[in-house]
This record gives sequence, C-alpha cells and structure tokens, in this order.
Amino acid sequence: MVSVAEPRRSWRRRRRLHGHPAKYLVLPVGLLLVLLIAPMTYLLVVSLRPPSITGISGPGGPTLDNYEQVLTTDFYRQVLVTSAFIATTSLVITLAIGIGLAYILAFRADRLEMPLLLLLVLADQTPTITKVYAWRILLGRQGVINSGLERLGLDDPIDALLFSRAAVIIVLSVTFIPFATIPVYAAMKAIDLSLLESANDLGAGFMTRLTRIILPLAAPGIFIAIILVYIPLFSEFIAPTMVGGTGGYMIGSAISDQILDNGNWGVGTALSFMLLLLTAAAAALSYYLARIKQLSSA
Amino acid sequence: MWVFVAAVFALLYVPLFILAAFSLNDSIIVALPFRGFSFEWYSAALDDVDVREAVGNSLLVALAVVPLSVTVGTLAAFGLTRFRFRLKSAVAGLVGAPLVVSWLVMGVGALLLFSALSIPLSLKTIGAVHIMASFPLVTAIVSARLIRFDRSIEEAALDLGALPRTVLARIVLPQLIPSLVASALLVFAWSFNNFTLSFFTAGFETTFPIWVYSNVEHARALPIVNAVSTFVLGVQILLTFLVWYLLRLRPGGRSAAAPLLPGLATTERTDG
Amino acid sequence: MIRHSAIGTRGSAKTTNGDPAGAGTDTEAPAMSLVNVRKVFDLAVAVDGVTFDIVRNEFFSMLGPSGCGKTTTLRMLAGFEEPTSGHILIEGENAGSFPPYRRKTNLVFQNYALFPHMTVYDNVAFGPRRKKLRRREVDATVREFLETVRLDEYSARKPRELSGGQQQRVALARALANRPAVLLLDEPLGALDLSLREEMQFELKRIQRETGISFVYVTHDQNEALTMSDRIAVMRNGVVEHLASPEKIYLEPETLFVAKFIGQANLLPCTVEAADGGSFDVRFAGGERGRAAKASYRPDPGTAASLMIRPEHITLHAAPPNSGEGLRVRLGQETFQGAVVRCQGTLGDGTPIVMLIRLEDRFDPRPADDTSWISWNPERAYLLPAESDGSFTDSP
Repeated sequence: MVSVAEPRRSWRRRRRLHGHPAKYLVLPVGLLLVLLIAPMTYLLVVSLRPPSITGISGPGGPTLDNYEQVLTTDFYRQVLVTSAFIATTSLVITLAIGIGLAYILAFRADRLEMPLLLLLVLADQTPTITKVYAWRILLGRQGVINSGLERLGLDDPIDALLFSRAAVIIVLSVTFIPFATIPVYAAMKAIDLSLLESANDLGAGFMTRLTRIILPLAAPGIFIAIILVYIPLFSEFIAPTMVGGTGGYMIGSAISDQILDNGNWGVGTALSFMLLLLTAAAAALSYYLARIKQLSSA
Repeated sequence: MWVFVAAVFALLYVPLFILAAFSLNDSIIVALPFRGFSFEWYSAALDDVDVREAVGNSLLVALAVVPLSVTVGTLAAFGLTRFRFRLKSAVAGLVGAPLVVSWLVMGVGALLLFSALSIPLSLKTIGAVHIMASFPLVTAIVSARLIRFDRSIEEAALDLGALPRTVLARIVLPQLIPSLVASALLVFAWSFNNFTLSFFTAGFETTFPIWVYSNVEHARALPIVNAVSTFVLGVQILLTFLVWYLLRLRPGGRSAAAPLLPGLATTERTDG
Repeated sequence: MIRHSAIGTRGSAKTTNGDPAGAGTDTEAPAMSLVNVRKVFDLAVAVDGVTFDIVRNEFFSMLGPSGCGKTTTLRMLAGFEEPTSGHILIEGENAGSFPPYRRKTNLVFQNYALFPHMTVYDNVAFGPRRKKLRRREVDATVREFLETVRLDEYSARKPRELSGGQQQRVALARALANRPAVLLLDEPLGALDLSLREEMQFELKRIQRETGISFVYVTHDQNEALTMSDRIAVMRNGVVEHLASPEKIYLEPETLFVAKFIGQANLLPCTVEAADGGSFDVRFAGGERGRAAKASYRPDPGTAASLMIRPEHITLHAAPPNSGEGLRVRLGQETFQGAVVRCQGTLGDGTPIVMLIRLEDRFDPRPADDTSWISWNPERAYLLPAESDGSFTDSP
C-alpha cells in the first residue's frame, strides 16, 4: 500500500504547482479522438460491410468479403505487387544515397556541413506537388530530357521516361533523399570521433572503419530512416498519379480511384485499413527499435 | 566525393530551376528551346481568378491553422513532458500517430466520416484536419526543447517567489520562442503545401496544391502553373532561410538553431 | 556562538518545540526547525526522522556522502518536496505544505540555475520584482547585493558571458536579494576549481557574517564544512549521526562513521580495563596499556572498544617511552607533505596506522630495523565502540 502511495507525493506536489495534466491534454486528445480515431474506426466499420453492386454497402452483418476481394482479384494483387516493388526499389536507392550523403555531411563536409544541411531541409520544405510537377517537365514526351536528346540527333522521343514505373521510382527516390539522410546523419553525428581516431591508430582502413564502426553505430538511425521512408512510400499517391501511368499504379491511386471515382467504398476502405495495419506494424517495430537504442529521430 | 554531393543536390534542385526557367519562357509550350525572356505568365497568373482564389485559400487555411496548431501542440508537449500519469504512453502514442499514419488513409477516413455525419466539406474541414495532423509536429519540436530544459531554472524562479504562471510567462515561454517560431514556420509551410489531406476534405474548394494537380493535364494552363509554382517556391525558400538566419544570429542562437535543422526535416513527411 | 540545544539524532528525538503547528511568526523562534521529518521515495527511505533547529545568524552545514539524505532534506526546506511526515517550521511558523514561492527561504542551486535569457541585473531583480517593490527599491536592493558579491560592474552582462565563479556570485546575490530568513546552498562550490573554491569559502563566510542571514549549506566535502560552519550535521542513511561544532565533531565524534568520515582517524582495537571518573584505561592485544580521557559512550570494563587518535596527535619515539604507555610500531612509507611528513606504519597486531609528524621530529636517519614507539596525550585520545565486522554498517 505504502509503496504505491508514496512515490506520487512529489508528483502531487508538481501537480499542485503546474495543474493537472488533463488541463493540457484535453484539447489535443479530444481533437485526435474526433478527427483521427473516429474516422479510422468508421473506416474499419465500412470495410466490414458486405459489398454491393451500388458500391456503398449491401445487406447483412460484418464480413471480410471486401478483404477477400482485394486479396483474390488479380487486379488488386497486381497493385499490391507493384506498390511493394516500387516502394522497395525506391527505398534501396534513396537509402544508399542517404547513407552516403549522411556520412559526408557528418564527417567530411567541415564548413559546408551547415549550408548543405540547410539546402537539404529547404528541398524538403517545398510542396511535393511542385517537385513532382517539375519532374514531369523534365521527363515528359516534350520534356527537357527528350528535347535535349532530340537535339543530339535522337529522333524518337523515349516514351518510357514518363508514365512508367521507372519514372515513379526516380521521382520517389529523389524526393525522399532528405528524409533518408537526416536520421542517419543524426546517428552518425553522435559517434564519438575518438573512436574513429583510435581505430585509425590501430591500423583500420577506411572500409574497416566504415563497416566495423560507423555503420553498426549508425544502425538505429538507419532503421528509423527505413521506417520513416518506407511507410510513406507504400502509400504514395501524388507521384504514381502524376507520373506513373498504368505501370506505376500503386495502392494510393487505387484507394483514391475506388473512393472518389467508382464509389466502391468497400474495397477502398479495405485497402486503406490494410495500409493502416502495415503502418501500425512498422510503428510498433520502430518504437521497439528506438527503445533498444535510446536514439531519437528528431 | 564532391561529385556525388553535387549530383545529389542537382537531382534535388535542377528540376526546380528548370521549372523556374520555364516560368520566364516566352512560349505557351513548356518545352525546349527557350523562346525568350518574359514575365507574361506572372501577370497572367495575377489576372487568373482561379489562381488568386486557390493561393488565397491556401494562405487563409495556413494562417488559421498555424496559431491553433502551435497552441494545441504546445499544450500537448507540456502535458506529456511535465507529468507522470497512468495513460501517459497511450496518450503519447496517440499524439504521435498522425506522424506515421498515411495522409491518404487519414484523408479517406475524414472524408467518409464527414459525409456520414453530413458535414459539408469546406475550408473549415480542411483546416480542422490540418490542425489534427500537424500539431504533433509542434509537440515533437517543443517537447524536444522542454526535455532539455534545465528544471532547476524553473525551480529557482519558484524559489524566488514567482507564481507558477509567472514562471511560465517569464522563464519558460521566453526560452521556447525559437522552438515556437520554428514550429509556426514548419506548420505554415506544411499546411500550405499539403495536398493529400486537402484533396480529400476540400469538397468544391480549391487550394494551391489542388489547383496545380487539377491543371497539369491542361497544356494551356501549364505556363501559369510554372509561374505560380516558382513564386510559391521562392517565397517559401526565402521565408525558411530568413527564419533560420534570424534564429542563428540571436546571441547564443547558433546552438539553438543547429538542432532545429534535423528536427525540421525528420518530423516532416513527403508523401503528399 | 554555538547552541547545542534541541539536537535530536537517530530519529528518536522528542518534539522540542512544543506544538509544532503553533501559529504566527515568533521573533524568538529559531530561524528554522525540523521536527521528526521523514521522506520516503518509492520504497527507499531518503530521510528517516530528522529533528534539529537552525538558529539565527548561524552557518549550518549538512555533511555526508551521496545518498545520505542531505539534499532531500534541503529540498524539503526549500519546499520542492513535501515531508512524508514531520514538520518544518520557518521562524516558528509551520511551513510544511507551503510551496517554494510562499517560503522565506531561498536556494542557491548546485548548477547556479541562472536565467539564461536575462542580464545579471534582471536575474538579481527577479525576486524583488515578484514582491511588487517599487522600481527604486528594486534598484537599491539589486545594487546592494551585487556590491556584496562584488559584481556591481557586471550588471548588464548575460550569465553565459561570466566565468563559473562569477556565475556563482550572481546566484548568491539573486538568492540574497529576496532577504530570506534562511539561505539554502546546495553544494554551490562543487563545479569550481580548487583555488576558486577556497576563495569562495572565505567569501561565503564573510557574506553570511555581513548579512546576518542563517545559511544552510549542503556538502560532501568535509573541509568545506569544517572551514565555514558554526555547526555541522553529519548525515548518513537518512539520519543525523552527529550534530555539533566542527571542533567537537572532529575531536569527539559521536559514532565510528563520523570519526572516519571527518578527517583521518586511527582506530586501534583494544579492551576496556577500567572506566573510573575522568578517564579510561585500555589494554591492547599485545598487552600494552593506553589511556583516553573521553569516550562517546559509557564503556563497561572488559568489553572491546576502539581507541581513536588523529594522525597529528601521535608522537614518535626512538625508544619505549618512560611512562610505559606506548605501542611498538614498524615504520612503513613516508610521504613529504611540506610542513609535515605523513608516515604509515603497522602495529604489532597488524593494525595499520597513519601519523603526521612535524618535519623536525622526523627520524633522520630512520632506525635500522624500522622499529619505533608511539605515544599520545590521553586528552587527545577518544574511545569509541569496537568496530563490528563491517565498520560502515552499524546503522541504528
């Protein structure tokens, strides 16, 4: 009894000084309950309604029919495969670039470190829609690259540049670079330089230092980068729609089309909820990893 | 090594420069070669009612979202860093959720709920969803500062006879200013730039990103899209740079600004 | 002036202030009284029933190893923690549940806790301004205390533009400017380097005398406590082991722990032979006899005890002293320490012993077989209970 009651004492004192936590939390939590938890719950409810021809919902009790439809229809299976392929490929590319850039920023950039970091943040502060649109100008049939090639004597424009899987991967890999770089940079920045110096002193070459010291110590940052990048990549919506064509059709586009254009709420919400589950799993994993190494992403 | 760095930043910035270049091109076709230098698309954009409305709406929403989001986010930061209570980790998880949940899913969910409750979609629904999704960014930035806050400084103020509210006003808030300014800037850009959430909760309203999205298929509108995009891009980059510069120049601000940089970017997302 | 009244130790003390809830400020009351104060965190008892008074215009130290409860006691005095039980009275008024901002105490923090966004002047003016004093009064107070700490020329600086020692002085001026009944200091010199620390010890003492405010000083550094204090409370495991003047604590410690914690103590195991009137006769393992004038307890003849002799109170002899009261010692290593030489040695029963010998009393050359004899003035020898196997675990 005493052991439970006693530790609260000093917290009770703090509460008397600062007020009850509810005073601070009622508004934020209320907002999230109304605008996040309620919609997500409703999403689940709608996804469990029986499918119908009209699209909204048919008669009957809760059923997994919508989920079954997503997992058994070739079209949706293809969408899932495409999404996984594009997200994974983009992740690998953006991570490779991000780790390299983080290493240079953390250890080699010297006086350029802050300016480059600022440039990286600025690149991130621009509207995604503008960035994707800018790539459209570059990659389009009459775009800068094709007209450049034309001038060099290549008459046939390369159609594959725009409205393709490759276009989506290029655009996504580039737009996510700042995202992948900064957590890794933060983790590398935390490495004690004397560790590298002593490794050097003990005769370790660049590759040994990289693989034996830097990468293992930056691993938590790399994990965080993976999770920060992979979830948004999976649910990407703008780039697939604007530069993807049929080859780059991803879950995000499918959800949007089902809900907004076809009125097929059942499948749209089932896809959404599957995305939500994936997110929850990734978030749980990241939380677990972040607890292992007390390294915060921010 | 520097070739690699140059290549990466070229990938990030060259498309934007080309966009800017085309906005000044004296041609209706957005393609090479350049036809000459002209501001006609900027004046055309100024005259375009749709453009003015879209940018105006985005500004309106962002300006309304910033104070509310910063307030709610700061409250949450105080509640989560200053107290210990039973449901704390659940509340912290809930507040962190909008940072990970896909905007697409949040947008779809909000759309379905609003329509089920027969709430008409408007700039207000956009704003409400923006506040919900963006205040956790503020919470992240402000908590990071509050956690590093030296508690004995507050205790010293209490000890010298200051009431708790005086401590808040005279000791805590003045030291939070850089974080609050950074949060406000971040939320402003976030709200102005957000496409996905706005797209699903806008109804018949248009914001700047929605306007761009709905005009990319119209070849005749593209030069205006270029001009407006370049303008918005320029203003945002200048604003970010300005705030960064101001925070840096405050005495001792150098150290205050440095951790904000990674903070700004890691808490942000690019998926919309 | 030293007061020994109302010294309670080991949690067994009775209430000395009559009705602890007695209302009203009493000009005759002690600056501060603690009555059976206990503080429990989780399962750990941090402070286990402490009772003492802090009289007016006194420099009072709480001394002890980390975890002894001294800082928790200080934080309860300041109002940052509430006692689990017991009472705290400030100038006779029960202040047990008063928040920090309603107490006539002010605290100098270990890390100074200066307001980084304010100038030195604004830091010092913070307290007076909270009292809604007129601008002119605030200004006069700030100038007065900046002068007291000799920082009057730095009022426009920001804390980060000052050295550690200067920041320390600002923290002191800021706390004093509130004119507290008691000034609390939490290891304020810990972060300073040695020479600065010695200078500040002198300064603190001077300022305490000039202002006439009672200081309660928490430290783990016995030299600091011995140098500055009028009285010292030596704490361990949440209780006060000994509360007395520095001389008394040094020469006549109440417990073995205090004897060992303050300065260096040779504790020689012995058996009590006789305890008559003013002195005690003891016998050592080798049959030698010795005498001590005082004891911390009432030893019964025939029981085991420890004879405490401080290293500087030992005299070395080349031959057995005539009195027959002396111990044979085998000399070990010598360390030159300036005015004195520190000699290590071993007694016949293997007990190690440390002596501080004046330079001119040193053997030069040393005896051929390193053997010599020690003696002491019984007035400077002191009898304590025998050490149990773990000498540091004899808690009550």
